Amino acid sequence: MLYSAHLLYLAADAPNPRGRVLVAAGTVFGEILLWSVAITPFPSSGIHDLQIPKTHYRLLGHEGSIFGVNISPKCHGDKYYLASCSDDRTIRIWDISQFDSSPPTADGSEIKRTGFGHELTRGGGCISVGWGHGARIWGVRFLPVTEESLIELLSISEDLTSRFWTFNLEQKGAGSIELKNTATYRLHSGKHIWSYALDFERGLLATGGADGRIGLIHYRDDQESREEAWDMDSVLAQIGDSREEPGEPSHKDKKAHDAFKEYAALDNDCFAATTTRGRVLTYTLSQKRWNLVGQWAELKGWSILASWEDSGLIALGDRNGQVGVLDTVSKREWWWQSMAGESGKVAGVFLGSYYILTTALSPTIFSLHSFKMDRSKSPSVLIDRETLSLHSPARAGETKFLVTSLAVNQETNYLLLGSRAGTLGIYDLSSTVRPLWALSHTLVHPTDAITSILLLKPGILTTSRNGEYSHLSISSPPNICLTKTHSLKPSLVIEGAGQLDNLTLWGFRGKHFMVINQASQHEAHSVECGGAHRAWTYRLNEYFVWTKAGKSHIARTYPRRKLLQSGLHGREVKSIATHGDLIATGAEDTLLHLSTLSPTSGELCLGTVVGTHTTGIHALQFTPSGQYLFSAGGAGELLAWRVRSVNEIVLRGACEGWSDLRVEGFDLLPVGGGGGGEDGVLLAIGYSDSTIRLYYFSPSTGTFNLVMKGTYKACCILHIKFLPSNDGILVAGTDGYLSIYPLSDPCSLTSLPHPLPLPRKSVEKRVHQSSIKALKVVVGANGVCVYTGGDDCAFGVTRVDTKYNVAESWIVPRAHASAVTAVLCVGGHVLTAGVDQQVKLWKVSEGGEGIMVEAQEQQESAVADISAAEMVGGKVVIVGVGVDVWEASARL
Amino acid sequence: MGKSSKDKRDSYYRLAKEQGWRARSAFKLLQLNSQFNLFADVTRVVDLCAAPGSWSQVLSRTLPPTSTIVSLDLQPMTPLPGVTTLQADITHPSTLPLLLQHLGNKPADLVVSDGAPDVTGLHDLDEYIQSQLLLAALNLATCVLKPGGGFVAKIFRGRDVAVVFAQLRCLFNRVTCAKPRSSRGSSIEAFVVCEGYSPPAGFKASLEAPLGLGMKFPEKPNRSDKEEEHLVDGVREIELRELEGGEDGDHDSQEARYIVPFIACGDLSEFDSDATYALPEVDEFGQKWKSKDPVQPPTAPPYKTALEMRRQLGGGGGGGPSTS
Repeated sequence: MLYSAHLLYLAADAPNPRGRVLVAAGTVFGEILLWSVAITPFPSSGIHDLQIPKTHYRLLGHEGSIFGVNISPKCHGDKYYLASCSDDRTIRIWDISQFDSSPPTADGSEIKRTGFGHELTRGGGCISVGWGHGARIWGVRFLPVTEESLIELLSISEDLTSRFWTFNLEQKGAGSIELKNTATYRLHSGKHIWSYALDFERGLLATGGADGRIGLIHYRDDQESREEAWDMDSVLAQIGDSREEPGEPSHKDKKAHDAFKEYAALDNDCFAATTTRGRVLTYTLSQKRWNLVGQWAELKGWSILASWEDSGLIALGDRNGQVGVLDTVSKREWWWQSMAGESGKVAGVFLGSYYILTTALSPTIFSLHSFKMDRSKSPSVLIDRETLSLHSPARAGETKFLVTSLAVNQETNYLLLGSRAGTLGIYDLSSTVRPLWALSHTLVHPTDAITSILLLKPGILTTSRNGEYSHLSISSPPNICLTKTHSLKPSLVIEGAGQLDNLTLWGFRGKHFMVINQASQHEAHSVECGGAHRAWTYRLNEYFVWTKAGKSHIARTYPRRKLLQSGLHGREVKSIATHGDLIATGAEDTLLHLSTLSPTSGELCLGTVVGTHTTGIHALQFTPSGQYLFSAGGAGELLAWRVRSVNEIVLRGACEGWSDLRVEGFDLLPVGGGGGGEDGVLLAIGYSDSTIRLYYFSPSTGTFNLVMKGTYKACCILHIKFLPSNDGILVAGTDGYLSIYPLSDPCSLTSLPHPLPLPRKSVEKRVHQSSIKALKVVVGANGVCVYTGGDDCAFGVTRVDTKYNVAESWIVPRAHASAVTAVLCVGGHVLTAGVDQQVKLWKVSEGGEGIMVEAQEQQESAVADISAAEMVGGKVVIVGVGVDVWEASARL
Repeated sequence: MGKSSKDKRDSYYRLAKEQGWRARSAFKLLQLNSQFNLFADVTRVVDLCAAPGSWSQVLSRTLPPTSTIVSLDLQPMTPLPGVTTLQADITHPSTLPLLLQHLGNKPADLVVSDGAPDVTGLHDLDEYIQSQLLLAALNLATCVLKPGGGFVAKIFRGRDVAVVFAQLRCLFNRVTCAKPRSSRGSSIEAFVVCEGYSPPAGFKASLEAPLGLGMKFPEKPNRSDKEEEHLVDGVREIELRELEGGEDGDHDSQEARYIVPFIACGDLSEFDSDATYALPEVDEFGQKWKSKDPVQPPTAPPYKTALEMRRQLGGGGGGGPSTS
């Protein structure tokens, strides 16, 4: 069975008076056939005059199906190569130059062995095997040959990466030629890169993934600007300062040798560095040039460095408690004692413009130094220097407040300090009390360092080494109160954040320094630097500098990747919930997306991506107020979220989970008594082991209390709904039944010492042959009406009278060609959608004889594996493998 | 997750190990048979895409010992008593004489196929390949089936499944789409059960000129007899006037489509393949229950060597250099 093919036209030449088409074909059984056929390219008759095809090679060796083949252009005079990629995670290069002189291979009419693992290859040797991809490789492609002996390739894979490879034909030595993975890009999420396009002239690669993203990579630029690394000797040689320090004995032990200490970015082209021998250096990237600013004996063995970016100024702390401001351009310097009466080391230097906060080694009092730069002088002069003492925000008995970050809000005159323990202290700098006391001290990131504080309008953003970043709103005095309005954990030890067009986070993941575009959650950069424990500095979008093995490494990080289209989930969407114009979707990629519907394009605009769930998200629901969102899925996980907008979501609580269970359906009911002016929420959850649990969720504490528990049957529960009449819960599962458990007073189920047992069922009605895949409860003229979609292809309508405990059902068999997985009320009609990708509209009416159903309209959706549908702003949003938006009004 | 976790989440996986089936799919054929009585009067049966052989196991345990069971697969298969196993390509013309020879040159009563490709995740592609596999099985079946014979094959109930249904109806008296309870509800798979092989007059079965792949299906016979709906008790059927399977419409631009009746097989008292079950405390011998090893270890995946390479390089993650 053919899986992949590539055709190359060979023009006529002396031995071949006709042009030929050379065909490489990869099969599902792991073999590659190379054959050709003579062809008249532009036959006047309109019929291509095909000759008998000739098979040149059967190339064997791959251990899995061949997903891609590519024939190289003619290179090195008369060479042709074939690249193949496979289920076996390898890329193989074959030399097929001799195809014309190879003995003809049998055309396959004899019985041949099939299957994999042939040891023999008939002609055409595999010259190289490339390893690296972590999953199936879907495509491979040669790049035009630019260097005589070096051949480049591109591959795309299920593992979300696109990779560039090279092999060198002049490689000497025994064995096969090495196929080297030279660059790896990962811009997609979920699973699969399916497509790509290359622009060789501009060096651009575009990739398309199952996540709907289109990524653009400037691959050529990347390869031209590889990292540079400097050892100290080369630096000292360049600045012409390799002499030994005066007064130092000229011994060669390691201590005497200078080494890089700290870095601070100055501007797009320049950063500063200190050394263990007390040197202060600057490096200009465009000129690849180091400059010596100066050398200070007090900075030997101890130097704290910070910079005010784009001002040319740096701040230094020395081992004698002196703090200095240095103009790296004019080389002017100003030094003073950081703390009256303290002569120990300066422990930390934290900057605002122009503020310096210095801390001593045992800090209970901090010093805040302020100054101005008089730019009317040339060079500028530091003037109006003042020093203010602050009490540490930590009171007696609390953990020491070790400052890790600072921000000064010039408008409110607030000083914000972040600590190593994840707390945030706030001072009002306009207060006249001395030393200054903190207005508030709040734990924000339990319990790791706040690495940066970014001023937003309004509020602030904090990042933490615990992997979290948060948006906080700060209420006005006198009662300063911090509210976390948004908080996420993007699996990164976050060291900093910046906001240009989008929020960008940077930090470390494993051995890599990573820059993440948080809005689209794509990896903007990653630099393998060896890990977090080292001196480094990063200039947003420009460069990353770090020390590794004694060398100073510099990597350019200006944007060479971007998303042309941000896409949605990388795997099947399994659930959708809406409130107003806000849309929450949950998918098998374990992500929760918040988005809105663009009124202009009619497409989903992504706001926030939440990656807290560990397995697929199968059910989602907002509270009627829209303040809270609940998400549930595999591992019995059910999480409560406080949602303020499409960009503001905070985890509020997690229900107990069970690793073996799944939640396919749950429902909620606001019941009051939540405290803090917010309603409590009663949740009914159905699990895959047929248990039903009711929990009371308290928004003020974020806790879930089990209030009722029971077992339905032995089958998996798929849906659970509070009846609109508030007098029971409706349960549907894989057995095709609709069942009702009466509840007399659900609002009383708030806090109970022991959970109550589930009452007896009052209604039990089988509607479908098997799973009820979709369910919608509405209040009809004659009581409750339940619309159901079944795995049995049927659409069901069930009328329930809870007063008299009766249910009557009507069924439209063969409503779809497959399982009916979505049911929705649209205007006065009912919409169904199924895995057959059909969207159907039904007119359902009640008459004397019962329910009548008429088919109204039928359309095909582009979404495969449809799982649910919801209404948003009068439009129908259908989710599955992708998202479809339908104009509802036009269809009625 | 531990070994017994899969036993909890997949009761048919656990049962298959305990009852000695090579794969959990054995229960699918058992449940199909209990619904359709597929094996009545069957003495010659062909199992296509048979590896690892659980359907052949069902056939050999259920059919009388005098029956002829021939199993085909591309992959080698561990032999089974009473079953002739052939390693062959079902699409290849040379397979037919080989198969006929092992059937004693007599037509088969039943052809079954549980074959499926390794899914890629691209639904259109996966459904297309599954349909191609089904067509290949059907082509071979038409060459060996006796008139009135049966054909059972796996099908993906995706976008164009109604086209396949319409095609099958051209060759069989009764076509039903069936989903056994042992097949996961979350899976797109189901089975077509085709009964009463009756090719239209003039139809010539051939592997040289197979159905599909550009070949026209024979004209649909005019079968006006009402098909039986499988409704649960106590519900009322609503018959639709329009939308009768969507067979109307533009024949030039659209292939004929037909929705065949659906039936869920297996009793509700049997295990639910989507549910999580508590594990039994004792086994059938009254001993403390222990998770068993699979009857047949899973076949080596094509990326086995790649996994070994990765292990040698150390670290399970990333792999390959990363560039900014």
